[in-house]
Amino acid sequence: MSAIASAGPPASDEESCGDAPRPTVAPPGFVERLRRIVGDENCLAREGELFAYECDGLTLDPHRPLAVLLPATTQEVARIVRACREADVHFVPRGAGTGLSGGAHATPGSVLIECSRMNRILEVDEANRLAVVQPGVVNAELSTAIKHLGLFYAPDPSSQQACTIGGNVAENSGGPHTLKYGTTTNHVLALEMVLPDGTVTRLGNRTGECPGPDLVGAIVGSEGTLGIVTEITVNLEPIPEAIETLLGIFDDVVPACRAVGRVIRSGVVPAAMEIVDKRTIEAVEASVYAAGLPTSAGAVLIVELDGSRVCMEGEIAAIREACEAEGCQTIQVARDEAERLDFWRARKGAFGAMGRLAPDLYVHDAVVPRVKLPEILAKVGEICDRHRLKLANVFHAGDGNLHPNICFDRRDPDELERVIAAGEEILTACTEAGGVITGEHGVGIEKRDYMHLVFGPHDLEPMYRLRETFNPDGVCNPGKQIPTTRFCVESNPKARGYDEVPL
Amino acid sequence: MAVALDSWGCAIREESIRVPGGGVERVAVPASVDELAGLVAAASADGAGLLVLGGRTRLDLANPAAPLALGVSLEGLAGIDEFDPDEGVLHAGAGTPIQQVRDTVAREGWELPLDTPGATSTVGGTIASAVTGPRAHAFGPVKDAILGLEVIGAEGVATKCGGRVVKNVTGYDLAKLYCGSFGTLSIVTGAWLRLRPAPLDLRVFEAVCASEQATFEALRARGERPSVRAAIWREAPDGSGEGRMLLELGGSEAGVEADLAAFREVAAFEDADAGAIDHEREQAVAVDHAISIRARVLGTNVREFASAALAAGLVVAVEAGLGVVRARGALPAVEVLLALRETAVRLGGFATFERLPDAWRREVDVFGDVDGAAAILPALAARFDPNGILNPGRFVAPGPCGRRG
Repeated sequence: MSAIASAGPPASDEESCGDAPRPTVAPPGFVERLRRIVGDENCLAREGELFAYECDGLTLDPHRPLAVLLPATTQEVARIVRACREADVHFVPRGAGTGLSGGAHATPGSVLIECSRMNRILEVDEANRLAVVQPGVVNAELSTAIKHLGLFYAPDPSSQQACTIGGNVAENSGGPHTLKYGTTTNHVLALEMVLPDGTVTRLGNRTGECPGPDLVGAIVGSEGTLGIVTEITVNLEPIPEAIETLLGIFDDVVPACRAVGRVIRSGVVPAAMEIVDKRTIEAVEASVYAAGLPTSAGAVLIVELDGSRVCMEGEIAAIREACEAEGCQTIQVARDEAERLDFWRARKGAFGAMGRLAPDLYVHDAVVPRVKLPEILAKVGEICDRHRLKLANVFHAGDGNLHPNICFDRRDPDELERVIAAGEEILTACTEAGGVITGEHGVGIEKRDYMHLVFGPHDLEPMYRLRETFNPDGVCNPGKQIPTTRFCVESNPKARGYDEVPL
Repeated sequence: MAVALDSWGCAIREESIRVPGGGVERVAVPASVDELAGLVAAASADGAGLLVLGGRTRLDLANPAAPLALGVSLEGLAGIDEFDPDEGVLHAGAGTPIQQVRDTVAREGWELPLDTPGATSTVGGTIASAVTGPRAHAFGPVKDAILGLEVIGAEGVATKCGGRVVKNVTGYDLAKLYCGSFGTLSIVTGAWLRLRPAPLDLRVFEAVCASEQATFEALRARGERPSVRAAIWREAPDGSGEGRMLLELGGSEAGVEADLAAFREVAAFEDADAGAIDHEREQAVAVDHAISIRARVLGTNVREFASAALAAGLVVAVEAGLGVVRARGALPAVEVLLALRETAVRLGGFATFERLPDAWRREVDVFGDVDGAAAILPALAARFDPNGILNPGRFVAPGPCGRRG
């Protein structure tokens, strides 16, 4: 029997704000029951074992889980979920913990169900270009495993060497190449999942099309709040015949952004268009990721083209023309694979390099209409100057997806407060420009209280109804993605403990 | 079941519309989203079933309706509110004809990547019925073109989801639920759509081709033949096994030429009429067939499904790169029809009966297998439309392999 929510009207408006306090110790015998399901070595419940699981890539607002479970099979996941339900313990699914918005943070008194041991590629159907994988398969490992077939898995978040496909499904992860290939949602054909009531279901089929509302599409990007995905069927892309990477050097980010607009208008659809700003270039060139970029440059634009070899010449000419029309200093086409990787090093090493600038880095993820990039970058710069914060920008220019990186030291409470204030102003400016608060990192707990910048209470109502259909009693990853309960849109980030960050 | 329509100032016209299982004699024509919201709220309070109308090209793609009180035409919510040619995005009201959007964006070098079954198809109807045509080969399904939606919920409340930007994970992706829900969860009133650059060169070719197999091999994925936009292979009706292949190629001239050269190694492709793909698509759902099936199976299984359909005496057309088989013709026995559906499921997909005698619909589900969603969709519908007023009965989750229990 499925415990999918029974039909009925939604909860009343009088629901109280916030959840009742949860017990922070495991009920008697609960951990022992979990150990019997997954085995002693796959149930971590001692203090020292749990330390590493207090948070994901978002280090703010950590919580220590009651236990971390490492199941190996769908049935084990289902048994854990049923055990949790019977003991009234919340559970939180987790992949590799690389998420940046706290989607995989333990909630008070919860257990983490980490899918890293479910890491097998179950099937590759070369002729139909699809693969069936367990959620713990590392993103990059899938592409590596199928390279000999001339295929690859397109979504490529920058954490792809570590992040898992299950986590990518939860977050609808993107990456530099989403401009042409789309995000995770465009590549997931079907799912097997354990519903919050412990039943196992299969959604979608291998063709990627199913009559009626697209439940697979609704699950992708639901941040693990609708159940735990235990098997994923993804489509694979053929490795393009030709790849060309261009590097344009500009005096400033504004003409670089305008060049991106010209490329889009020219009708060429590059696989990726990325911009790295001056401060990031300086950080990269002073680090082990140095790519030989001129530190006098105000911005670097990386354009990657792929497709038929016969089309490359014309497309390269179109990119050159767009960049030259915006006064770029130089534009280079990578001569070989080594140079191509050099070009990308500036982009992919940016976050690592910026780690040298300050102990902490707060990476934003807002999106604006592409044509608004120049004005929003100026605005973001002004906000950070006013708050006396160090800002570096790396962004998916083709998608209008900004990643303003604010370098700070959280041991300085005044600076932390300014980081939070500036962040809220940045998100507000982006939404006022017609954008949204997250393009690929997710809402999690980090931006949950900013959902009101994009959506009013009425807009959130159908989201509650979707959540309640799958997760009626809120036992699965509670409190993530949408404000905890109706008409409880907190607006004070301090309310969730940003000012209580442990050092 | 009286609905207090006049108090909302909504125009009503006398018009008889028949759909499977029933029909309406009056149609409301709200002139604004507010008028529509008021109308839906009143209908919800009365439990009055509404038949939501777009371009009316897919009205018979439905299970038998539960009692209907009133039609609601979205023709008053038409118009392109915003089109940003630098951005490649557009916002249009649900009642806007797709053709109007196409014409508008074409003037600025863009195209709307949505196939439609008829000339009157609207933005809202295309989204609600998630029409997937042969160009999904290049563009993907309808949902991929949707950036954001505004809807009126079943209790008359206006909400929005998504946005106008091309990358967005802010909240649940509700547009995925509304797209393909056949107007049962909410009524779409407006949409932000993602456009594609119009190809510099666009050509259609045709060749005599013994089976779709060789061409399928040549175009298995758009990545290898990036200029392929659509490919349809049509079996000769005489059972000779002969057939014709239609190809639409688009992109740069060099890209089109390179791919054409590759296809000419498979068959003798000649220039064909520019409208050949759309013509073939219209034929597939033409009213003069008693039965029209759209099956989608794994690409490698197309031949097996096509053979089964031929054996049932149907004429077959294959959208080769997509794994879609369209079969049409005289009515087979119901057991044969259901066996075809079971075959489609076994071959990795599903089969929808796009045309089916009304009398059969009480027994045979139109839409086909939805696997685990069958347990979830009724609960979802009950939450989104607790009074069951939006296109009631027209899309309900079917049981396994489509015979009603």
